[in-house]
Amino acid sequence: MIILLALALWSAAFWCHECLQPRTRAAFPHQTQSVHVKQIVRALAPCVALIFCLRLDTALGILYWLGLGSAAGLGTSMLMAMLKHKRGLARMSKPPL
Amino acid sequence: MRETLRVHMGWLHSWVGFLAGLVLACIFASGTLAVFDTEITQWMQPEAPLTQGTALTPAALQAATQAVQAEENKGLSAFITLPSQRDPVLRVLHYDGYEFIGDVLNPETGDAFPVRETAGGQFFYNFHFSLRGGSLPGVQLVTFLGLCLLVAIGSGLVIHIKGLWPDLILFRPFGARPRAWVDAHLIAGVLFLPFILFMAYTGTAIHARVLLPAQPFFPAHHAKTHKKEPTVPKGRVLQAGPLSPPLTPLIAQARDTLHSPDGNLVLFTTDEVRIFKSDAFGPFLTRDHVDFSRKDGHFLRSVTQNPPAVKTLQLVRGLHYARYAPPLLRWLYFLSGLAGTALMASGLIVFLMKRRRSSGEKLLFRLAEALTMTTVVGFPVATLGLFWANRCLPAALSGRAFIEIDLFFALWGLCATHALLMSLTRHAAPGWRQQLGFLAGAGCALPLLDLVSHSHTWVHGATVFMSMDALAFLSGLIALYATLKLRGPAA
Repeated sequence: MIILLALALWSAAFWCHECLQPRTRAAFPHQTQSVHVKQIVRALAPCVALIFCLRLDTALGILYWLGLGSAAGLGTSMLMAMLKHKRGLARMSKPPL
Repeated sequence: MRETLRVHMGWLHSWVGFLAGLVLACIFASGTLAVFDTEITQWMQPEAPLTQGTALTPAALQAATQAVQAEENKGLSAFITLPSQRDPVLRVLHYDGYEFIGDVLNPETGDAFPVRETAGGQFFYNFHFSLRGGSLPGVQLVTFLGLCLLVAIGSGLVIHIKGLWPDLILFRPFGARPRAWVDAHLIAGVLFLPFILFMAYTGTAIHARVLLPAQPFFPAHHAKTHKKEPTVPKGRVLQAGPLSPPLTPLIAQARDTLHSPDGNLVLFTTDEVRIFKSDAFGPFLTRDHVDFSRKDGHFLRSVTQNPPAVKTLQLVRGLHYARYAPPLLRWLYFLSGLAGTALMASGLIVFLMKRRRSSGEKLLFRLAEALTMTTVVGFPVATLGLFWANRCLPAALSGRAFIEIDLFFALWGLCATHALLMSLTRHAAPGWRQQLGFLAGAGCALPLLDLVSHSHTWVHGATVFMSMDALAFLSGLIALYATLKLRGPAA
């Protein structure tokens, strides 16, 4: 349960991070208030996830935290890519190489 | 100035990354599989039932010591691994020059299970740190490549430093094909950077001595002063010791002293019985042990090492070997290892993509493409071939462990030959498709083979068999997807 929670927190942080980037902001417009909320979530969610992981296992908590962060980042990036593809924004990118 | 640095670093990253990456991808892939080396061995020895909670009896230990004695009479140095939660059987193992192999005993009765001879997951472990090339040049080469990986990571960070924060999770798999590969390379590298960095660092640090030995490389000046005494080859004994006293009370005493409730290692010298602390308890990979007399079983000494330098090395080893890791953390190691492999494989492909047009597809480029194909597709094909060989070869075949491994290298060699032929005749694209198609077939059909071979029941240890089969099937599906994508026009 704690592991899932930590994973969700990391995912939320990555999601907010991507939403705050100018390229995504243009695709998913939102209000100024929500920008502040996203900035707070981006900053706090990983810290809370770390506390959970350390509570789960003091010695190995940091390893769980790092591993779950990487896994959550991978999952979020794929989800974001699929959402952008659905909205027809997948090819909005820098010129290749 | 800064741009010049990036350009220089780009050159360094490309060439060091490509040349080292050809082998590093295989090292990372085998290391990823070695995270589950015990489980792979269990899959490859399906005759041994994985019944949890079987109590270890004195009769079983007596049978194990007799098996050790029998091995010593053959000149082999054998040891016992006691049952643990992860591996609930009693094993009597010896070193065959590459792997630890041997009998599997029932921890209750001491009867030997009629398991097939196989190197199991130990093969990937050995390949990971030595490329099966021994200490020299195998370990030396792997350690040097670890240094190259650190250089590639450092230069990669300098190149990507500007985009590190904004492009943290940017992935465009539906974009133009080169961009998608660059994104895959970056996302694997950035998100899994802590893991890849500490694996590269700890892996290099563990064997740093082979690159910077305490003795000079050229021992000519010392040869006159020190006359080397003849030593026993690793894994061999000159003479068998006496039959060991009953192990049950010794193990109980050692476990109490070492605070290690299960899964210990019992080693035998001609005079002593040494019981080692299990690696499963904590990230420090210690070699603490309690020694008893082999003649009458009386306590000799307890050896624990606590100096800060030793503890640091124990932690470095422990974090790298991950033998302490509970199942979830083991899966995270596995996922991170896969990401590291993907980082290197995608890096190789990006290197080729960037140079395909500018090189005019000259001989060297075609050779580079063949080598990349051999690494990216050939290694997984050979790995699946090893699993196929394990199920297809007769279980009672003599020397089948070596035959399995020979088949692995033969298959990899065939993939390399095929890749070379196709690339040099300017048919690289069909070559990729054919090898990927073969990989897809081998991966998707492995669970079916496991099912029809009737080599095991699905009552005990079903998780091991199902996970292995599912992973093979998944790798087949990924290969199939890649094959289908390669049939379409480049985006």
